[in-house]
Amino acid sequence: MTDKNKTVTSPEDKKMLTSLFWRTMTLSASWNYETQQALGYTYAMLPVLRRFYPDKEKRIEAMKRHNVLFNTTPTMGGIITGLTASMEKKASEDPEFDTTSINTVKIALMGPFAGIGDSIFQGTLRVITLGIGISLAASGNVFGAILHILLYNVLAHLVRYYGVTSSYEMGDQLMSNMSESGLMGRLTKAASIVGMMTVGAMAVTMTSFSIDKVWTIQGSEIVVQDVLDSIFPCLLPLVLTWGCYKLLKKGMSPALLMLILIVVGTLGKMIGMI
Amino acid sequence: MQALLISLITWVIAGAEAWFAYPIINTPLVLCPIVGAICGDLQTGIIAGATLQLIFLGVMAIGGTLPADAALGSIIGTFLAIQTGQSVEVAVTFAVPVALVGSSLTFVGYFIRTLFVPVTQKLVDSGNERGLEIEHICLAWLPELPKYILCFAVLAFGTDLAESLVNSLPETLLNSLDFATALLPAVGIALLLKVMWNKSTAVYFFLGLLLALYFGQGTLAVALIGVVLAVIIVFRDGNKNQDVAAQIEENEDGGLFND
Repeated sequence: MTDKNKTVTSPEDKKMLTSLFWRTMTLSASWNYETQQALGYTYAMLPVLRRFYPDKEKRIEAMKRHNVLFNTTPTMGGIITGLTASMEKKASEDPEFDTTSINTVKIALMGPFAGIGDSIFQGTLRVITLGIGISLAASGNVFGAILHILLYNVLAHLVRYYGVTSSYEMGDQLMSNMSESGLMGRLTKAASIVGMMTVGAMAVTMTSFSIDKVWTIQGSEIVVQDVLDSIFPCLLPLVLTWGCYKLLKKGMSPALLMLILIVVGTLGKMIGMI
Repeated sequence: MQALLISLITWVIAGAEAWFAYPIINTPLVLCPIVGAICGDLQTGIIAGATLQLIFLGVMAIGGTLPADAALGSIIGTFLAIQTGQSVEVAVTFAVPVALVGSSLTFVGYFIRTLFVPVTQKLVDSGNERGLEIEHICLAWLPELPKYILCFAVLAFGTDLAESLVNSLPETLLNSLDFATALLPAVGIALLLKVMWNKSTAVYFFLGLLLALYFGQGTLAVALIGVVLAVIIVFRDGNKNQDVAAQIEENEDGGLFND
């Protein structure tokens, strides 16, 4: 990431990149079953194409090129739109440029970025910031929701914005830089560590319930919950969570599992079993 | 009036969620306090948000698949609970079934958009850029509208029905329902574990668990400790570059993306 790799950004570049950034965010907004984000991608690329292809025929050709099936995590989509923008720039300057390589790059990157993006943002960061928000909101604090929105979006915004600008500036250098430094792999691993610890804490702090069952043996009362607590605090919720995990792993649908818990929990309580 | 305002605001939030690259605002934690504030009971809204968020935490949209519409369920559940003067548990009881039915309405939206693929093709072929922009904006916002019109109908006319339903239930059943809904967060956590679990980071789950259990730390504290730990483990030792990369590759093959 040395300076010599960077091309100098002009004010026109800045304007185009800002527009590309805002439009890249909307990638998934018109998502459909057939071409998924094709319309969104074409929409995002329009400011780029208008700038580099003043000739209408050339521009239509480029629009056709982008109106094909595409799907990735919008948060990370900027890295791909920025990269293809730099490729379109080259293609417009160099008639020898192989334009099919633009779609090859798009198709090659969309899968891995969807996988990494979903696991980092949807799978991990979202869980951490919502978890923090829930822990505040559970005590009736309205800042739980606000803190979640701020924490999540400050981090996601860095990727959304610098994804577009740095991938445009670095062009093809970007991918080799990223794979050399192993940055994506490290981020995934780091996010996974924080995520797992957060979920571990949530499994304890957020799944509390206790049972009122009292056994009477030879006149002496035994409060079942006290016995369980003395073995291992939080034992029942953790066992229940583990059981649910095993059932989901076996392919049971979450909806069915919730229904079973509601029915069994309600009936069990009503007839005094629990 | 409240019903109209809630439907309108939540429709805009749902649209903004997709339009601004998923800022995670169309989620129970955020929606329920808004519904609560409009209904004049912010406190119930906040608590319902925390409870429902926990249950639906494992629900996420990956590649256009939605297992449940947590947003719609939370809006309707919270509204009905507040209007009928009931507790958060009643909100959960209404929210879960609505969320399950609601996801099919989202698929209707996707289907409507699919019908417009040939239109996009024509606009591209004729180089109609303005038309493409308008199409993208319309398809982003309008296919969600039928769902929120339905939401409005339920909010505006469903309260009486919900009230008579709740009143017809015996007291013991309602109390038992309280207990049953307290079990549901386990499903949320289990869903998360199903997606996140992989052998090489599993040990950190137990670290977080023990920190909370024996040291009484909350989620925020554990997350912060996790960040420091992750920096130490993943970033500090530069010489282990290759090890980490190789290990990650292994993990990805073995766990995360295998489901």
